[in-house]
Amino acid sequence: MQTTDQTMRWVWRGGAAAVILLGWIFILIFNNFHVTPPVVFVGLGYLAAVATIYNLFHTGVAVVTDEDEDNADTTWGRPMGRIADLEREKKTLVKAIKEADFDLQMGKLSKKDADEMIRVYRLRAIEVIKELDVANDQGAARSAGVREQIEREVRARLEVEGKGKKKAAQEAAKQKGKKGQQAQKAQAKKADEPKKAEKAEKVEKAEQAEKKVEKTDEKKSEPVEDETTDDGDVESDVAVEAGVETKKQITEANA
Amino acid sequence: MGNTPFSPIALVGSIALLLAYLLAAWCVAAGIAGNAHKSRRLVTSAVYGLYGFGALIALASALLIYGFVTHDFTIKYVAAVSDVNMSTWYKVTAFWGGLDGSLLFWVLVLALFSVVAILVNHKKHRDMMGYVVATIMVVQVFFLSLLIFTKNPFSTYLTTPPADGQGLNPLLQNYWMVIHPPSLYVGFVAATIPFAFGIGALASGRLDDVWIGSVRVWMLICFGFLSLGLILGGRWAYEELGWGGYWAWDPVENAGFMPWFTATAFLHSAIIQEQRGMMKMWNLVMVVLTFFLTIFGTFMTRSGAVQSVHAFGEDNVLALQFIVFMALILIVSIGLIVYRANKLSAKMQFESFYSREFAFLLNNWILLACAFFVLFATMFPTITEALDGSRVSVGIPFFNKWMTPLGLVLVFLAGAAPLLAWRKTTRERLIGQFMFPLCAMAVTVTALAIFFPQTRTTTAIFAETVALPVSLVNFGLCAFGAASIAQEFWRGTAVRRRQTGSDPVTSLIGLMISKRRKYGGYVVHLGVIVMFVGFAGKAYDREVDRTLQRPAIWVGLDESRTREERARFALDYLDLDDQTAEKIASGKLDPRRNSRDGTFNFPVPPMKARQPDWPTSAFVFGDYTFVFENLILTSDDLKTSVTAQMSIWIADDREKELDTARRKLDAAESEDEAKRDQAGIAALKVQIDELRKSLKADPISLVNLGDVYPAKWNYKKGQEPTSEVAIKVRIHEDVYSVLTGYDTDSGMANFRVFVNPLISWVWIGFLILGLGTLICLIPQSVVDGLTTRKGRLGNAGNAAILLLVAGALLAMTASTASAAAEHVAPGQGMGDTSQGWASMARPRNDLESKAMKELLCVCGCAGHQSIFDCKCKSAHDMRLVVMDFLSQKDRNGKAVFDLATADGRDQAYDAVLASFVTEYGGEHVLATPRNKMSWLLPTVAAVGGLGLLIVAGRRWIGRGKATTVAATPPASTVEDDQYAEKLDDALADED
Repeated sequence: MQTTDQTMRWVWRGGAAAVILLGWIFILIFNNFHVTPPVVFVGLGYLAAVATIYNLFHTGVAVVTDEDEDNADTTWGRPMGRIADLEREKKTLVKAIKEADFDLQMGKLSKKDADEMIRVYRLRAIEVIKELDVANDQGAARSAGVREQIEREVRARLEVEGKGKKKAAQEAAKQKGKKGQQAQKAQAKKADEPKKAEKAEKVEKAEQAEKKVEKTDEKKSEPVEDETTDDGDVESDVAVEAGVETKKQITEANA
Repeated sequence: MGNTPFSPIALVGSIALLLAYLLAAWCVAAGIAGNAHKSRRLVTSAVYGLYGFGALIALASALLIYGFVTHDFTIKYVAAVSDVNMSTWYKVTAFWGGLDGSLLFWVLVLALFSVVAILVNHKKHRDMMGYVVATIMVVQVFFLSLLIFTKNPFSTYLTTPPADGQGLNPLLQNYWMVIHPPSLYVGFVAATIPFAFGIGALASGRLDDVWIGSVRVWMLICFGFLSLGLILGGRWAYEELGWGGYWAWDPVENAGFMPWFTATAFLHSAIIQEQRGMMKMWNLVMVVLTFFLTIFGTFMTRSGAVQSVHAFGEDNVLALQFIVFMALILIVSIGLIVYRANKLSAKMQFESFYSREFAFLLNNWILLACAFFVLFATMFPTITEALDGSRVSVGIPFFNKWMTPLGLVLVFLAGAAPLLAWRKTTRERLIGQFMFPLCAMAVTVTALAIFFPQTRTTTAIFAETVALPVSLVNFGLCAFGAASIAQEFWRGTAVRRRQTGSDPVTSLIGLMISKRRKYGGYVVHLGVIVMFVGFAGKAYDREVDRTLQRPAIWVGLDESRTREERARFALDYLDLDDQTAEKIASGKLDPRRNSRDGTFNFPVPPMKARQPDWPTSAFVFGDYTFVFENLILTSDDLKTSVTAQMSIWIADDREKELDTARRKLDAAESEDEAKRDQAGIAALKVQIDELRKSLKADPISLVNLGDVYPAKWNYKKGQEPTSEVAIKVRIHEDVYSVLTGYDTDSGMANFRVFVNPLISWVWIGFLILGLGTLICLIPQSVVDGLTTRKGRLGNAGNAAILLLVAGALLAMTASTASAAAEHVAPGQGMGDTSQGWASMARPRNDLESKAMKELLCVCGCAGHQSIFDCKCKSAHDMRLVVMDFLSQKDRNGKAVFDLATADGRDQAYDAVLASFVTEYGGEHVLATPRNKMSWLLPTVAAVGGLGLLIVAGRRWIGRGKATTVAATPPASTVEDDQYAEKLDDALADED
């Protein structure tokens, strides 16, 4: 879905660029390719006009867009997250330690004062790193819990499917004597097929969600480079929601 | 109806403005509602609306400029500030040449800045972006309402439009005025972005340190462009106005200076918030105040609240609109700050007076004091008029009395603060840090006091209660600051070398880049210090007015001489070839005409040109000999010019003696016959004769500094001549020449010459300040590109900011016209300067000089000049009155005032000022107000502020020490090894 949105966005941009280019060419042709100050400002005015129409269109479209669309580029109103706050504090403390060390070497601080300051900063920084690890683990644990649940449900479904096949084979040997039962069973199979298809879809979705969770874990294991990114938080939240939803669907199907 | 002129440009432009207005209103509503209700749709819509708004304003601007370049004089604004003869560049930049266009220019710059700001920050600050957009759009709505309902730049003539426009004020057709107003506008507009983020942070409750990092960059841009605008305005005043100065504390100049102070204060206190989590409320107040002062400055210049030749004139409707808007800003901002006060408490506390935090706090208080004093003094005439109906004037001396000591404290802090550590600096460390700078200061002060005794002259400061050798103190503090900064660079490079093992140059560059905010700031401090060296030179400016009877070339080619004599003169004096000399001798070529176009431009050869006819064509002033070579008349489509060619030489001692003797002889011969000292006159004549013979017989070793061409231009569309000054720039002083009067028939010319020591250092200091600002603005992506680490803002964001800054800089260097003075009609406030009034009725003694410097010329001249400086007839007449008043006699022929005694002189001084106050009906004729409030209020504020700072400081520090003791963890706490390793890794990664 996101890829489609991004593609559409680039299509729109490309279209706008083409309109601008064609317009400029037309203006130049109209003026016999003489680039005079008036021509320059006509060109700039045309560019501004196209940009106006483009942005006015998006201003209106944005109002009627489905609120539930999960577009990472427009996640207004979402709080930045505790992990981002902790990362920020960690950076501040690291800088403060470096600054104190630099002041010591510059001779502005005595060794005693510098050591004292650095010790206080280090202790707090270590606390922050601990809190960060806990917060990251909680996120990973949530993802791990969902993963295990999905695996259990998939195994259960496969077992169910395997048993069903055996039963069908056994029943085939008894077909001659039990046409009525066969017919009933055939009907029962037909009733089961949509549900099976539904289950298969859900399993597929659960597997995709599981893959997402794995990717999220991989991202989290990389060092955080931007001070306020919590994309990991956003994605793990998504994975959690997907996992919970999948679990709900599998449970309903089994019921 | 059929005769009503129609302009499609005006129609489309007006529609664009109306659409923009509606769109801005939508953005305000959508932004606020979107954030308040956490609606992504509304906030996204508001953001796109902001982009669309920018495009609409760009469209309107392009249309208006199109009207200029196609001479669409149907549009009133186009007709008012342009004409067909102007060059294309001036036509384009006439866009902001008038009030209406300047408002549209403001909206355009803010629209472009806000697009970049939102593009760069919309992901990082997504939870307050709606409020940010709404705040920016409220400002846009205000300015657009002014444009649409009051000052529409697209309004057209209802009857037949003129065939040609009125053209731009000639004073504004100058390179410096091209870039000065736009840079000031960019500076003003840039203050809106931090304000919007501040309001967004308050409204959303996100008052952590995230918003301040983004805002700091924009405030740095604001600071940079305000500095550029102010210094360019000063340079323009120096080059164009002909009064030898560059800063007159004019209200419009002050309007740009006030937000500069608060922006500078914010840049310092933002560091404290980022480092120590302190001064959060202060930072928000500074952001709000900076923005408020930009609007207030705009109000001052456009409403008629203050009198200035820079101002746009009186407009009560506009004034009311601005007052309502400013009230709204204050109410909303203060309301939000009070509402969120509980979230603005500091994480840390002050722990010591000897800490960098406290030095920054003191620095901020001083900067705030400067801003409020300038505001108070600028509005003082308006306040007194409102209170008791009397309007006073506030001239340069009043401002200097207060701003000088405040400036000196700032110079000291610029040097002292970097030497202090965060939290506290022990006394032992203080000595180690301050030793070298203090020694540098002591050596400088001692050397200057011994070898330049004029630096020991005391000057009254504050309310004339304290007298200080200001120059000596200034130079001493500048030495202290420069030494402090040099020490920081030296020691920092040494530390870096130890850390990285690289060579000194690489270490220095690495230090500058890795700690660019700190060391870029030091470079800015150095620039300010260098500028203060330049400011100190103002105390030693000298000026002289001289009248020269005939140019040397006219004397040599006089018609009374024979053809052979004229030819010989042309060959020897002018060093011309035979053919040209013959043409001149025969009268076929007139060197008095059209010499400036290069067809007849000859240098005066060194060895032959030093025999001018004294004193007809030469005089000595200071260390220089000025030879009036030629008076040249030229003409083109736009103007006629009268240009004096003057050569400047380093004066020989004999020439100085000769000039002094000649002046003494003139003074002696002008006495009444009964009083003449005949013996003295005879002796002088003998001395002069001997010196002339000596000069002729023994040619002196000549140093020619070149020719200068001071001129007067008469624009065909203007009413009064404009002065074109000629400046000979030398590293230690400028020689500044003004042609104040002339007679094209006789060749007589009046000159005013200034020698301005150290003034070049003001411009050099600004260049250093600009370099420091650019270093601070280096984006993280550039640093990471050098160190292969990812940027903070993202490459697109950094590129956008760099492009915006670079684009603004380029636009300014390529533009013309002024928005600040466009309502000055040609000749308004300039007075009649055509007859050389400047050189007449010059003061004969120190008392007359002092009184003339205190009395302001009533011609309304640029810079609110005193009658001592102003070159017009009004000033001349007033000087005559002063001279007559001070030398008046009673019926018995006895002098009314005893000028031989100090008391007598003081009485005479007070009496002459009182007589002028009575004559002109108020104290507006005085440069220094006599009102008690003028000194009482600033004194109370200064003393009170200092006391408050000390009392509050002691309380904060006491609280801080207690908190530190309580919070310090026990010594026995042991670090967890595993996490300590992680911390060490993070420290290793941090540069």
